[in-house]
Amino acid sequence: MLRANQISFRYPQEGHGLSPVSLNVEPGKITLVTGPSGCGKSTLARCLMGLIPHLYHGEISGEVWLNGYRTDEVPMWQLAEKAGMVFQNPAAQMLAPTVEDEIIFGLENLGLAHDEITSRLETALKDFHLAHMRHRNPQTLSGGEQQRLALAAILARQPEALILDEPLSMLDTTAATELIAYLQKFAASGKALVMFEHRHEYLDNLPELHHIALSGKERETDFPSANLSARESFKLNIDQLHVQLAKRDIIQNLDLEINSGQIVAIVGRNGVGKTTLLRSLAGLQKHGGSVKVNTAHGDETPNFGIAFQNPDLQMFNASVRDEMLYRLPNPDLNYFRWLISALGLERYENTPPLLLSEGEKKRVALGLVLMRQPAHGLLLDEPSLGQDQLHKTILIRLLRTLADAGQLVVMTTHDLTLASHADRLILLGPGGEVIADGLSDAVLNDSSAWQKSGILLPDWFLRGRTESR
Amino acid sequence: MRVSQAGRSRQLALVEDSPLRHADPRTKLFLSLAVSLVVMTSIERLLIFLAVYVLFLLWARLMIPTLEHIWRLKWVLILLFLFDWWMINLDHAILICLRLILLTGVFALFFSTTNTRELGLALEKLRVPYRYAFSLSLAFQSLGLLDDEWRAIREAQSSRGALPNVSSFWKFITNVGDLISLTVPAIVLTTKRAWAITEASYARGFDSPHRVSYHSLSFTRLDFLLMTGTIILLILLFWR
Amino acid sequence: MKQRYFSTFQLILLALFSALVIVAKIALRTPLQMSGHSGIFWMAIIIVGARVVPKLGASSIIGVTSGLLASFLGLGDFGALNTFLSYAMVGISSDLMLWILHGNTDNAVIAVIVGIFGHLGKFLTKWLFGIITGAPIGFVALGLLRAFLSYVIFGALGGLLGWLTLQALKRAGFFAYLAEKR
Repeated sequence: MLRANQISFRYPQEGHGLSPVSLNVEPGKITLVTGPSGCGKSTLARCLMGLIPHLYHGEISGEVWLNGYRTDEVPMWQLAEKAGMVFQNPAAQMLAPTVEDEIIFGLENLGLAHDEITSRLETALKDFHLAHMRHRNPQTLSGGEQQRLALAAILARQPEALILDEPLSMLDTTAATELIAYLQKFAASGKALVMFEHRHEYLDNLPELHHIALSGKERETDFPSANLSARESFKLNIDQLHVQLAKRDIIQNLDLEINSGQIVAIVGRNGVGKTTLLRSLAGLQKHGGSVKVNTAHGDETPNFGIAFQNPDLQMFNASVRDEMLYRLPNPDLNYFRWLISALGLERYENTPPLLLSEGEKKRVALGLVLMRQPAHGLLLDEPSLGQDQLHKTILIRLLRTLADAGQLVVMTTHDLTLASHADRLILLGPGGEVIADGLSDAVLNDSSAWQKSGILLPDWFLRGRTESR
Repeated sequence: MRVSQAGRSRQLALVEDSPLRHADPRTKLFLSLAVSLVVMTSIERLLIFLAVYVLFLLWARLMIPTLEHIWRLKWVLILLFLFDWWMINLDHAILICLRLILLTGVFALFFSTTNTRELGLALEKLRVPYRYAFSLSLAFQSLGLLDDEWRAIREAQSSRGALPNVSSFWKFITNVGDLISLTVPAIVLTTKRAWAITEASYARGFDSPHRVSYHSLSFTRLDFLLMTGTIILLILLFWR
Repeated sequence: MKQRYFSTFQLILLALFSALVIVAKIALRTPLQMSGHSGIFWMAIIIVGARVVPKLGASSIIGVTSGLLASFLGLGDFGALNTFLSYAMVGISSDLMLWILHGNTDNAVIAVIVGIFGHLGKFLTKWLFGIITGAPIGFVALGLLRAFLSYVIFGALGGLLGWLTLQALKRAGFFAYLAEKR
């Protein structure tokens, strides 16, 4: 049904693409393709869908067969009748003003009769539990709802094959588990399904899983030893923090005391105010109550560096080096050398940040914040997004080094593996309230708290914890 | 004002209970263009037209938005009126103010009673290729998102000290080059979004020659009446 | 892929640049309250758009689309017609200037000239609107000369910012990224 034969692709710019690979996606099974960052997973996904070569310039060799069509010989719209593709970023693939228009868009392109479109629309809305939000703007939905809508819009077209490019990477555990259930149903109906994913742990135990691991050029890098000067200890004091956005209370009277020299993970479902809390700590958000740092010399205004979720917000320089050193009056070049090596970015020092992968750019964004050496530490918004296992390990080591030097590291995350490496875990409930707060291990074992938070602890995670004990 | 707020107020400004909501956008466009022509007539005829136009606005439930619009122009109107009265004469001052009121408010007939989906359909009916109508509708939908992104860029750059100081005219001129810390990320993010949409739309069969339109526009009796009435009025006003 | 004058990606890109013009107009207000000051971001986006989609008509599409967006949002005090024509004229005059100069906005001088004349397109519309309503005297009284100078200055600055943005984009590898896309 979907077959690639020694397919390879090289983009016009040197240095990246896909090395020859063959692959056969069997109907009725989920085919999982994994591999380190930069190994060409997204490129292969686009080759299978036909987006390469139809929408991309570059050198292609080998062939892809989709339902009897050779993908480079038939127009894209014809391939799209046989296969559908769901992309990594749920918000970026929304293209209609309402949920129902999002589904109708693909059905109109099939040239179906009015009644048939109505019938498929209603079925999709029902099957994917979207009927109650049919008139809403897709951009106002949560990430999980958007990914569900993207899937509904594709499946309403009744394709024979489905290709998914890291569909779980931006979802919390509950939304990711829900999505897997839909995908299992699709594969069980005898259709072909291929999924490219870093977070393969969600699929590892599925029956009928066909796992293909692509090899990459990534090498294990040694984490350089650090020589960071120790900071004086302090306490971050959050007193009656209150934030209102668009007349809605996002954070209500939050009290927290956090000691320096530790990693703190803030976990909660999408929209509970995790990012708002970080922004309040960074001084970027108007709020009620107070946020202060208590030191031996008295109270200070917090001075944290903040690494944002989207690294593209900050990149505009010609090289990683220029980006990290931008407007620093007297940069500490020894620290810079250590940092760029600790972030695994040494070989990209002179590369324009724009040409790096999302994961690499996130590390550059982290680097430029750390180069400013904020007095009290670091705030990170979903730092593991787009990072493969190796770079997640590097990230954890780096954060640990900072915490050991007396800095405070606060991160929001829906990556439970990353959260389990924190010293302290704060679990937020649906209304932004603290449901559990304590040592990571203790909070992760508190199953009633997780139930209250609406976050599902997936089987693979619980199994992993039991085994590690 | 935030663009998303502007978008929301725009939604509020869509006068849902206006009978013109049921008219075809092409009819409304014709009405607006016809009224724009009328402003070139003499003051006597313009006053007669104004009486008819007020009745029409009352019927279309557009009187309040029109008055709000005139209120926004109050200072310009007062200044123009006094200036032209002083420099020329009272008739001329009245004529100029009436023309300004009509010309500046007339396209509200169209924009206050048409949503973006209807605009897209109307453009298709007017033989504008679907790809253009589609990209126009994307532009509307992206306003809120791009607004959020621009704000996020500002915030992210200010948090790393990369936001230029443009607090005075001189600082603005001398620091203009530093504004690239805002424009470059904005262009990059916008381009990436455009590409993501392009891929997503092609993955859902965009550009298929078999495409049909689920929603449709059709001329009703109301459109016929409005068109005929407008043509008759135009003939009467411009007759000799 | 069918070969067309503008590819679908280019059309979508131009449409989103139009939305960016509106965002820049509303959200990125500088503390300066001079007539035409928002033209700096506005013209910069048009200058970049004309280079990113290097075809005659690209600026006009940005102008017309942003005009429609602005009219729907109710921007401008002189009504939808005036708003639409002002925005559209910025794009059309920029295209006209690029056509006359036979160049592209990669050249700093051309970028600044296009910035000035593009922005003056908006000024011209306002002036013509005054003539049509029969109010040139009042318009003069409202500071025609001051407005003209302001439009020239901010148009030129917009052209310059657009050119600087293009150079930064070039150094940052943006055009290599763009070269992959059809």
